[in-house]
Amino acid sequence: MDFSTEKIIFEKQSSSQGVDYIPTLSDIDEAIVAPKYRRKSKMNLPEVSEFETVRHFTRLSTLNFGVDSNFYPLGSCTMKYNPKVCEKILADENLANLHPEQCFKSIQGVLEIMYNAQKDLSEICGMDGFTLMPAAGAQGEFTALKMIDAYFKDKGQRRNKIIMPDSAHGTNPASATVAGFETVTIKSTESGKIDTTELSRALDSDVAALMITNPNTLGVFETEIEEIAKLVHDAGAVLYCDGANMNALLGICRPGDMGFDVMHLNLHKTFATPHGGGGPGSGTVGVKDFLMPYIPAGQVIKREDGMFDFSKSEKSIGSIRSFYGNVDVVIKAYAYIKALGFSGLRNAGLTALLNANYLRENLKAYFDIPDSRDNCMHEFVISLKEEAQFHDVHASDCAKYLLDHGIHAPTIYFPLIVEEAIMVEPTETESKETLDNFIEVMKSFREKIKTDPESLKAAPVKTPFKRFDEVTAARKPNLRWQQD
Amino acid sequence: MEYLPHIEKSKKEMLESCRVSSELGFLEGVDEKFIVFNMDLSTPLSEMELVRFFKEKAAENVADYDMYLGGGMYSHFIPAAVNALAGRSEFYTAYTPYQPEASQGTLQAIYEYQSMICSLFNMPVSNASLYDGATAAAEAVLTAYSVARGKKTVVISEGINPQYLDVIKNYVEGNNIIIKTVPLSDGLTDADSLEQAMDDDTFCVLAASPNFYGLVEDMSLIAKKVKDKKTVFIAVVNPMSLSVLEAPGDYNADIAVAEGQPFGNNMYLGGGALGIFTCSEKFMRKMPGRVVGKTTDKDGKEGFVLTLQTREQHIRRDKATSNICSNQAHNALKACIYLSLMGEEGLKKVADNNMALTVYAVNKLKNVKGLKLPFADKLSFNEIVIEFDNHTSADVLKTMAGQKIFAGIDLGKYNADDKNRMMSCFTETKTKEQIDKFVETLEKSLA
Repeated sequence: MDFSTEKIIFEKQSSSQGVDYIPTLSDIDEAIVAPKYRRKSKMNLPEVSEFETVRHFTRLSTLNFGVDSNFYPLGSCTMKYNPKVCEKILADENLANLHPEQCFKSIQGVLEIMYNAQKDLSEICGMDGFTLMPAAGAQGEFTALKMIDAYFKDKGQRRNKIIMPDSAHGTNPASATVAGFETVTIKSTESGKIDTTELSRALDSDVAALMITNPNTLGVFETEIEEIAKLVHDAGAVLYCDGANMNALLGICRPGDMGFDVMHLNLHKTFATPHGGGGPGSGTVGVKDFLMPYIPAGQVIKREDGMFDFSKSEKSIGSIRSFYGNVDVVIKAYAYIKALGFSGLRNAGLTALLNANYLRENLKAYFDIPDSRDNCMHEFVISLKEEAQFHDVHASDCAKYLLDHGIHAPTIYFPLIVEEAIMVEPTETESKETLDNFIEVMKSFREKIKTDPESLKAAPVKTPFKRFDEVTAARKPNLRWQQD
Repeated sequence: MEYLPHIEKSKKEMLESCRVSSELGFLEGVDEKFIVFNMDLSTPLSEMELVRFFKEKAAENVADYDMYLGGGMYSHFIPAAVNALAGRSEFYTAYTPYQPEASQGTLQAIYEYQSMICSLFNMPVSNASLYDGATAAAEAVLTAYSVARGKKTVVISEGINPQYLDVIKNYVEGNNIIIKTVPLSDGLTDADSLEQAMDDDTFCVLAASPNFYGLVEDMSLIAKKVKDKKTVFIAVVNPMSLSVLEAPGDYNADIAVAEGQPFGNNMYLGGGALGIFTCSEKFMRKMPGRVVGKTTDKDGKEGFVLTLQTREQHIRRDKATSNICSNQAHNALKACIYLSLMGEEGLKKVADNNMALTVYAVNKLKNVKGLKLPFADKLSFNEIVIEFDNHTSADVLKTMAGQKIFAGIDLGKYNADDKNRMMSCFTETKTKEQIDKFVETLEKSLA
């Protein structure tokens, strides 16, 4: 029995308790609202009781995979365990009910947490300062690019281009566009690394920054990073690190030590805050001293009298969102840092490497892993190019096959430089049992390609729903319930 | 405390399988000089110590004073069922629903959220959420710009939240968009001035209702003036007001955005944000952010998928409608649950109570010496401006805080001319008695 036929809540009807959540005012006149200001159209909200609402959403929740119930080897997403203590900490009313307009004296506790989060993230990344304001990785990229833009304008230079490799995550060029830059894409080497010759060719006085991730999206460390940094800096440009892959370096290396001038972190990846089905995340941005003057408003400082307060520097780019950022997410990440300490973060990073390599080692005999090196970092990419060509079995078929085994699909069709890519990142919190099971399931997938490729087209068959008609969904969009 | 899985035996087997003696063996190619062996971080804590630490830190904040603060984030009552349901790990530990067969819980909830928002706003399309009201307003301008055909100017009423203006400036700069702001006239947008500010280069106009001073604008008139000139009209609204006051669709707004935090989200010092974005059909394929659509699976069973993905960054890259990826999905879920629990009657009651309590406060304040209510003759939703004859609002706020009341926002922070003005917010969380105490205490502090 599954709840896959759970109706849309609008189609349910029961007596709502909606008016009983707050008291009825007595001895108070209603406000007088002139007809011209009154709502004209009919509202159409569901009419359901609390109990039916609870039943409805409880049932819906059973239709979801979640990290707490399923393995999610999603490359570049770092779906690690979300510690329950972090959720408990956030439930405290003295954090949950703080209004952003309260005077600074009344929020010293949370300001201290934010101040220390800025400090600890700087230490972990080898940066001089951090802003907690960006709401997600993409917004972090945008914020960094705005700071870079402000920096060059301040120097009286006009630099309009951002260079990035063809393996870059889609948000990189998208963020560059929103920030007003032109994207220049350079081809990666065979092993998906930065081609320093291509890079030299692309670097000119019009380039503001190079955006890369290290390790790259194939899970390979950019061994040429010092040369890359030198080339970029010699051209007067800034080196940006997309920190989505920070889990490979956690407690082991620091981007700031390698020549990166600015980077963003995804707290909802590396720092174990929950994904929430699509957010909220937090895309905090770290910078070296020369970019600090441009850091967004809402920077937490420690005054001479020891109190914490917000500050905004003269040359700050101002606000890129309201108030101070996804403070709830920042607090959870800070709790994670405090629980683990340096040794814990380092062990997490090292174990992430171990788990990824263990999978790679045991799968390389069965799948094409287009990377000739002996090992990877925290993730690796399988290519189903041959299987697609000779058996018409694609990365999407592998994804659906895994769903039938209760495993969420890895990242597929990214990075773009690998055909039929399947990017696998187990993270450090997965047990050997889980990993061994994944290996067995992948091996059985391999078998199926040989013995019964047709059956793979039918997957998934064990989930409450089969493959969806995504074509019609896009051609004839139905984006809201409407009364017939 | 760490969350690592391997017993010694397993770890040993795994290392052997990889033919390395330790994890450091995976770092070949990483220059030794980059490898760190210590960091200046605090000592790791056991869970017990961690809980104690945060309890103490949390207690160094004040969250239990009588609070009359608004300005973009609002204290509303949240039924217990909201967090109980949203706190289910199948919801909060789930990933983005790219694999629909494994994500129907999230997908159906978002579709229901979109439906409720469309209904409340009386707009045909809603996305699955953006970061907050401010970025939603910024993205709305960029969406309008995508069909602007070379026009470069956006006209914005100064009734908009000043933070939203800052954010919009940052987002439109990259396209060399020009912002023209129009001052308020006695606290409200003058529709004629707005019209006069428009020219052949104007591609969209923004106005907010309630505006930053809490006053309800004549959006029908403003919208008409804008649309008569065939220009895109973007409305910025307080969603909690829509059960009683005009919905954006009622005055044919092209795009309507809002801060959705009032619906079931704790404030977390501004963290519990939710960017609501709605638009007309015309903008559906230009809209930023994710959107969920209904469809059927292979067996003809109805279900939901992320759709219209060709607008998004993972497909269109530098030509995407926006760079947004992760949004505030879990906060949207809370909003959806809140709206389900409250229903039309419940939501209407909240709005009515907010307005009634605000009127009650205004009537009591009228009798207080030492202050004026500059906009008392105009309609407010749940915020009012109080102007002090002989005090700065900073001083008054300090005195009130000494009496355990966060009396309002110092408007001098946002406008140097408003140093003697304070803005106070009255939501359904307040009782008549609390408001009486507010007024008495204010009176004493002005004496």
